[in-house]
Amino acid sequence: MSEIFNTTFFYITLCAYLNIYVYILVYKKLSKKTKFRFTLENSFYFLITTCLVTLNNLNNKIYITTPLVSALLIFLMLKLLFKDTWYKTICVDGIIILYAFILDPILSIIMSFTFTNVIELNIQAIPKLLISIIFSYIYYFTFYHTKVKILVQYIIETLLKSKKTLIYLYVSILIVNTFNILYGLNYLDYKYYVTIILMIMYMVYFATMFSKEIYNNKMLVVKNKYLNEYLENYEKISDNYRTLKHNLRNDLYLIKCSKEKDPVINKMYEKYTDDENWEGKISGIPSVLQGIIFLKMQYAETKNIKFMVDNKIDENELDENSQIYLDTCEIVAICLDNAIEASEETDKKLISMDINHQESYYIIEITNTFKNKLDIDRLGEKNYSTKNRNSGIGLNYIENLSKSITVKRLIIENIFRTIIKVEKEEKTVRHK
Amino acid sequence: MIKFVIVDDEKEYRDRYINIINKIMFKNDERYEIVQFNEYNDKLKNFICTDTFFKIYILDIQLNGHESGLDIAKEIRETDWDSEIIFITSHDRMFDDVFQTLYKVFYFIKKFHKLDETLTEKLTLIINKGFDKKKFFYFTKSSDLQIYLKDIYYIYRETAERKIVIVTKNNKFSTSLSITEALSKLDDRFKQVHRACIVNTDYVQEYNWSEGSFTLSSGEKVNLCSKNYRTQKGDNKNNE
Repeated sequence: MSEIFNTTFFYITLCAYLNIYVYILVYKKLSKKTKFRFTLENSFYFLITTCLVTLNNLNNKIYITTPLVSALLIFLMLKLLFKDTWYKTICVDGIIILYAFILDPILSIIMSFTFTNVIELNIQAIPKLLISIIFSYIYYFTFYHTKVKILVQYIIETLLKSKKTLIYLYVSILIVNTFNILYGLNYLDYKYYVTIILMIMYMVYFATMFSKEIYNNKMLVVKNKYLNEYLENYEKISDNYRTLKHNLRNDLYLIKCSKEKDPVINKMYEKYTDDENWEGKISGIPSVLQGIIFLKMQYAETKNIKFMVDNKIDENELDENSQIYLDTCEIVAICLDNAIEASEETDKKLISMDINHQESYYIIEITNTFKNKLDIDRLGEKNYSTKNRNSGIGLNYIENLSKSITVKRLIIENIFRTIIKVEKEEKTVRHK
Repeated sequence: MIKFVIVDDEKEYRDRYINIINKIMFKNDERYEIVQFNEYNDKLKNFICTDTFFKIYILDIQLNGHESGLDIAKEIRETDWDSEIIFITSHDRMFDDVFQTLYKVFYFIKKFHKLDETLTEKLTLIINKGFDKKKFFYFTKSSDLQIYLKDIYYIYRETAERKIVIVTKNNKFSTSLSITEALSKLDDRFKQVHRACIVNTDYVQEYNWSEGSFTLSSGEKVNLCSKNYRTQKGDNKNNE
């Protein structure tokens, strides 16, 4: 017993205490549990975990399992202290551990360049305690930096939504941990630095894959949303068509039977033009673009938005199979969605779309009313959105879609105009 | 100097508009000139693009030729958001809303119903409201922001994001300018009342220097008012 509870044990416990205390503070911040307090029960869990972790570090001879057991103990403690769901605890804890694993080697490398007798330092209790204090403080300090906090918060939110990403994260933690255990004690061995480089490469790969995954998922969500909207609108159009056909049949029969045809025709005309919320010359627009505009018009009508279209280009001018044309359609669809969403929130719900051409450009202008708070510098930035939802990809996506298409915005008080300029190319012009 | 630009394919109507304009401007000291076109042509296009005087356009919607009055209005608004546009029309109300709001058309006048009285009334309104077309401009790589100075209520600095926020009646715009930079783009009606706030004095109902706030005519109370800036104001709306 006395062998266990000696001075070394005391100092090692103090190290563990500091590290675990920092982890608790960080977890509290990340999970936004501002009401967390060290009650008697919480303090008991904390102290027990500290002791168990110390005993594990001192007596567990299987090096690979030592940090794993410690991590598991800390995980259980956090679950008991904060009472989050298992999944959330795994996500947040995973980030905290990974962050430590990233920071640890960096500090270790600095130490190994600063001290020549690192291995001896690692064995002695007091130096180890001092190093732990420094490590804990640095960990705490960097974690409280605003940009780090925002990044970590964002990663946690993503992990909470994607189990697949969480698995990637834990696999990477295991790999990092294995390398760290195998070579972490011998800072003088070149293999340590090789593994560090490998770890960094793996982290970069993971981060890239992670970002790509999120971006692709969001793209899929956006595209899926359009598909669903098109389906809904198609059904509405079919219903409207059936109703229109029925009404037309009746009205034409009325005209046929009337003695005084002119007044009846005038009345029919008023009937079909009254309360129309949309009007436009879309017949000359090339087919795909025409379809998109028509669907958006229908959608706008459901939101009581007046939508006017004016087209001055001939459908025969454009090659509908060209990539630029398809990209233009995509951009128009996104811009119209934005216009509809923006004008929906105003008192005067209005959208106007003009399609024209100059010598070397086609110009599509979408003008709409809006009422919102706009950050002019961030318009078009990834993940910036004026809506309270997970969006902000649309404008950023279209900015980078094609070099032959430029998108610019003009804002005059409560009028928002998107100007899409499409370069005329030989290939985009259909040869007659 | 005001330029009246009449675009109508019927000479009889053009003469009518000219008479109305002459009657109105006879009572006014402002210099003016009347330019008329019977259709959209290169000369009109050139005039729209190059002439920088304040203009009042009187456009007939139905014109001979390919371009209508609506097309002319759109062309005007490509480069000129300051000039006023009055449409002479018999079209349905759909265009009214869209063009009045999105293209800042001043009014739609029915051609066959009280044309003279309505045109006189609307032109008088335009002339009497003045020509305060000064704007606040802010340009980024992909966005241009233009706000009429008369529409700005106040500007304040948002500490957290380190941006200034321009508050107008319907919207708020954030830019990365500093308060000093913003002040340099404004005119004398704007005063700095706090280290982080500039206000349009035309909209201020009262200042409360002791409380550190000012109240706008819209009823909004803003707690960004510092005594340190009081002596610069010489305001008469003090309330202590």
